[in-house]
Amino acid sequence: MFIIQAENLTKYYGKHRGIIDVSFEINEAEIFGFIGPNGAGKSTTIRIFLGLIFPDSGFARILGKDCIMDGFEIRSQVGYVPGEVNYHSQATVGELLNYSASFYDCVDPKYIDELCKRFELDRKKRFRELSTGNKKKVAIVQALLHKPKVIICDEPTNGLDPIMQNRLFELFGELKSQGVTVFFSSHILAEVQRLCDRFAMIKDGKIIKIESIESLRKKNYKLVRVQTPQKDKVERITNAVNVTAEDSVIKFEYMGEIEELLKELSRIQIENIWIEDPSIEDLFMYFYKEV
Amino acid sequence: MNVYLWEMKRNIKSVMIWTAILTALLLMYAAFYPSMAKDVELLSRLMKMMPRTFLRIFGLENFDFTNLLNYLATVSSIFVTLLGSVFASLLALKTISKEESEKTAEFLLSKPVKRSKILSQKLLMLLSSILILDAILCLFSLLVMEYFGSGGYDHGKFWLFWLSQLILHISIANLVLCITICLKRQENTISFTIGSVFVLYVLSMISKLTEQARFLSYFTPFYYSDGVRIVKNGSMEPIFLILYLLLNSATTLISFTVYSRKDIYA
Repeated sequence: MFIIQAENLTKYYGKHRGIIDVSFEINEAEIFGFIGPNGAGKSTTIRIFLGLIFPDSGFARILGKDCIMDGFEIRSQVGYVPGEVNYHSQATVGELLNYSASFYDCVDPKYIDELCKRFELDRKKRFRELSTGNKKKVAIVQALLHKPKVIICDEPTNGLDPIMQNRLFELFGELKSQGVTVFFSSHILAEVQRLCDRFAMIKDGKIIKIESIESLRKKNYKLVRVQTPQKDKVERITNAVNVTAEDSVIKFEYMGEIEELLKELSRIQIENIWIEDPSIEDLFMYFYKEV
Repeated sequence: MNVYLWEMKRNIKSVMIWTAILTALLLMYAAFYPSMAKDVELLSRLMKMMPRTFLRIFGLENFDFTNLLNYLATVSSIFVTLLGSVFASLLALKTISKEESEKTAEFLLSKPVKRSKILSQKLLMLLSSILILDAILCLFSLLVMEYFGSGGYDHGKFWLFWLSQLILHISIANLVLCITICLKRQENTISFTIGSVFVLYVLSMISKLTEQARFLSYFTPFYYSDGVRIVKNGSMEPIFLILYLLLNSATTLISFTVYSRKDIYA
């Protein structure tokens, strides 16, 4: 049984496109990334799974249950971290966490303490006094306090500082080892690569690719910029494509073994070098070409 | 009951502020009464000089100002009937519309709780808040009657008046809740619903002007609960009770049906 399953999900907002024919499956204890630019349909898909909006056609299932018919049972097993955190501004963090806990049976107060400690959350502060990052931490703790089997996050690292991002990733790793399934949307490829087992790319409401991180790693798609007087030698690098020059800086895309790239670069007189992961747009272009 | 308790906690301050203001208005009007009661003749002459239409709108034709209950029912048409309904509207608006426009609905609806349960608890909060306001106002009104009403008063009419106001406030809250749930976007909900409440109030006034306009009275709950008429007649027409029943049943049914299938964008 798949833990999360989307089957031909389609949603229009009046005449405007939400998502079209979205299908994917997520296995138990899998961390699944959902990447795409703003307005691609990530939040629409997540909202359908949470029963916040209703699809025009298709099915959304979590733990084998239908997200519309069995929404109540599903939500007791799901923790949701929203992209934009808006809770009651007058309430204190402690009140919000207690309110959140009141919806579940048998919440362990010690576990809430542990989560608050882990994310350095001050429970006495009012929600409106918190920074974006701290608001996000409240969203994370309230989503995890009932030890859900499934975690759904809409851009969970948005606003978090690198230390907290690290702690969140560590926590996701621990939860995965306990059998928890994580489904999260992002537009940052690096975090998807670091954290996920597989990912789906969505653009203009349609899934354009579902791939494992392992196979993406094998492809080793990099953006390389080299400052060199030997442009001709750069152009001859095996697997270098789309080579463009701007003064003495040569830019190219590379798909292949990193070791081979370094060997070839070592034969060139280099003044400076930048090797970067591609942006999400670059990756989209790459997959578009591949599709 | 967690949603109910949370909602009550969030709203109790505003309920108490509204109650304090309306109670202060009640006491202020009551304080004027002894001096008005002294000059009944002057007041009656003044009334005769006023346009008939004006008197009809406010139900002041052949009105006996020597009676404190009549006096309170007349002045209450503004601060209990109208302002009380504005309070009920704003509270109903806040419970759904504000939650969507301030995007806090997502928090609640992503929890394991059925939408029908959420709406029931929110309705219960509305009912409790209206009951608190009306009960306190009624209590102070009772004290005023005991203190200033030297010649005694008709208890039946007194309780009927307050019951009619309570039903009105509950019905207005139900109506506003239903409208806000049915509206897809929440941007202009406040102006739309408060505007509608005022239109209904004015409609009730117009319906009293001529016989031809009388049919309008069936379309506005403000007429059903017109305090001046109720105190004067000592009864509430059964047709209006039936209309109240229909209005509340229909709005509740629509609210629950639409809310259970509504897309929440917030």
